[in-house]
Amino acid sequence: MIRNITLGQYYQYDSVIHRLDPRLKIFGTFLYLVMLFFVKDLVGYGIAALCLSGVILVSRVPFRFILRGMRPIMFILAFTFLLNLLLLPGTVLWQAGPVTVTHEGLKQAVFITVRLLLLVFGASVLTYTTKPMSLTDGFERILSPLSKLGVRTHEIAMMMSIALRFIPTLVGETDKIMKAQLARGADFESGNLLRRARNMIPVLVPLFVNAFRIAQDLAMAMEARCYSGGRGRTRLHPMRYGMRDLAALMMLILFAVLIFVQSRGMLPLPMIWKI
Amino acid sequence: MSIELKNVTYRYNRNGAEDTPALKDVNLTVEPGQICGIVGHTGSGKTTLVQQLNGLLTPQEGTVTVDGEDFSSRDRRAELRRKVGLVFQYPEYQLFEETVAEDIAFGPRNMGLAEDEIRERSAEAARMTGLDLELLGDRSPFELSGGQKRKAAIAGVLAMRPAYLVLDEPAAGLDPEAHREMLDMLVRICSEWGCGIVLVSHNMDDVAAICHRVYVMEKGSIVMGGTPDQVFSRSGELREMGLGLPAAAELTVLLRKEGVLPDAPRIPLNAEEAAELIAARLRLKGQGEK
Repeated sequence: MIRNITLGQYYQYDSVIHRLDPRLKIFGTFLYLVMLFFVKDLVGYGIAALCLSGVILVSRVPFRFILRGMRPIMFILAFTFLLNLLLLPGTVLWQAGPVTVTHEGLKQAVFITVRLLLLVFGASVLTYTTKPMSLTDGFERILSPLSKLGVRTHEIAMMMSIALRFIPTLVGETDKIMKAQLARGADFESGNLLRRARNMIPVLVPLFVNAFRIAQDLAMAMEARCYSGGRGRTRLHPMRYGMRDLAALMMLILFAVLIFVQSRGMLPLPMIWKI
Repeated sequence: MSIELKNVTYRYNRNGAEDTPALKDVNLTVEPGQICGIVGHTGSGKTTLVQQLNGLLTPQEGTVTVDGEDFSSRDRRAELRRKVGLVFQYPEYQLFEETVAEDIAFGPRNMGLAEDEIRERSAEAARMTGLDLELLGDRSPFELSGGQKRKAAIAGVLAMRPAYLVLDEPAAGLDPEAHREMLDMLVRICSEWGCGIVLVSHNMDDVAAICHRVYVMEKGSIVMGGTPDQVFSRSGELREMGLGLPAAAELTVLLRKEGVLPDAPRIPLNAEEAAELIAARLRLKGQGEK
C-alpha cells in the first residue's frame, strides 16, 4: 500500500568515495556548496560540474539515481526559472504581448537553475555514498566541540539515528494498521480532503499509540544494556582519517582554489556571462 | 458457498523476475461451518495467504472467489470484504476510538447500518467474545487489560457479522485461561453462526483441538492438507519442515519409539486420548503380569 515510499537513499557499493571518512565527506560537501556561491560565470559552473561528475563517476552511483534527486524539486526549479526569465527588467531580447524576456532575465534564470541543480546533485552524492548511520556519527564528531558549550551533541546524534532506524518500522506499522482498518470497512480513497483527513483517524491514533509503545520498549532495552548517554562512550568502529582522506582533502582544496581564482578572473580562461 | 483459491500465485516484487513467489500455486477451500487450520513456520506465506482471502492483496495468477465472486470489481470489493472478517496478529494495537463500544461499532457503522442495528450487533459480538459491554462499553479501549483489548478488537470484526472469519494467531501472548476462552469462542462462532473460520497458528495443540481441516504451508505452497488425524500422522515429514506435533501426539510417537506403544491404532491429538491409550496399555500389561 505504502511500500513504494523510499526513504534514506543510500546506494550500496564499495567505491573510494563510499570508504572516505564521513566527517571529510560532510566537510567536503559543505565546502562544495559554499564554493558554488562564489561562482561568477558559466566557466566556473563548468569547472564545478566537471569536478562533481568526476566524483560521481568514481563513486559508481548510476547517473539516473542522481537525476532522481531532481524529481522533488522539479516544480521549484521550473518556477524559479520562469520567474527569473520573465520578470527581470533589462535589455529586451524577445517580446510577445505582455511577456518579455530580457538578456538579464535569461542570464539570471540559467544561473539560478544551474546553481540549484549543482547544489542538489552535490548533496545527493553525500547521501548516496554514506550510510545514514555513518552520516549521523560524522555529524556527532563534527559537532562534538559544541558539547563543551553544553550542547548535548551525542544525544542529538543518537536521536537522529534512532529516528532514521525507525522510519521503516513505522512505515510497516502504518501499512498493517491501514490493512486492519480496511478489513473493518474503512475507506481511505474517496471523499473530499476534509473527509479523507477524518478517515485517517483510525490509522493515526493506533500509529501514535504504537510509536510511543515502541519508544518506551526501546528506552527500556537501552537502559537494560546500561546505556547512559555519550560520556565515556567508545565506538565499535572508531573513525580515523587515512591517506585516502588526505588525498581527498587536497583535491577539495584544489577545487576551492580553482573556483575562487576563476571567480576573480585570474585563470587563463574566458569569463562567459559574467555577473 | 465458500471461499475458493484456485492456483493462486503471488509475488511481492513484480519487477524482480527471479525472486521466489510468496505464494505458489495455492489451492484452498474454506467452507461455512468449518474451522480450517493453516500451519507453517515463519515466512512460509501464511500471512500473505490470509490477505488474499479478503482482497487486501490480489494474486498475479489464479483466482480467489468468495461465494463465487472475485475481488476484481471495485464496487463489489467493499461488499465482499464485509463477508470475510479479518483479524490480524495482535489486533489490540488497532483500537482507536474513545470508547470500547464506539470501537466495536466502527465496522458496522462503515457498513451504513441503522443505529439500533449497530447497537444490537455490537452487543451480540461482545457477548460472543465474553466481553462485558455493560461494564466496559464506556471505558477507553486503552484502559483495558491485554486480554480484554484482544476481545474488544475481535468483537469489532465480529460486529460486522462476517460469513467467514480469518484469524492470524489470535491466541498469541494470552494467558492459559484467556487462551482456552479464545478457542472456545472460535468453536462457538463456528457452530452458532455457521461461520467458516480460518485459523493461522503455530500452536499445533490448538489446531488439533478445534480444526476440521489442517493445511501445512512451506515456502509459499500448501504441502499437506487433510483432517488433523491425517496430517499429524505424518510426523516425520512435519519434523523435517521444522514443525512439531501436538504434545499428546509427540508423546505417543516417543513412546512408540521406546517400544511401549507398538500398536497405537491412531495418533492421539489431545491429552485425554493419549491418557486413554496409555491407560489401556498399562491395564493390558497388568493383566499379563497377573
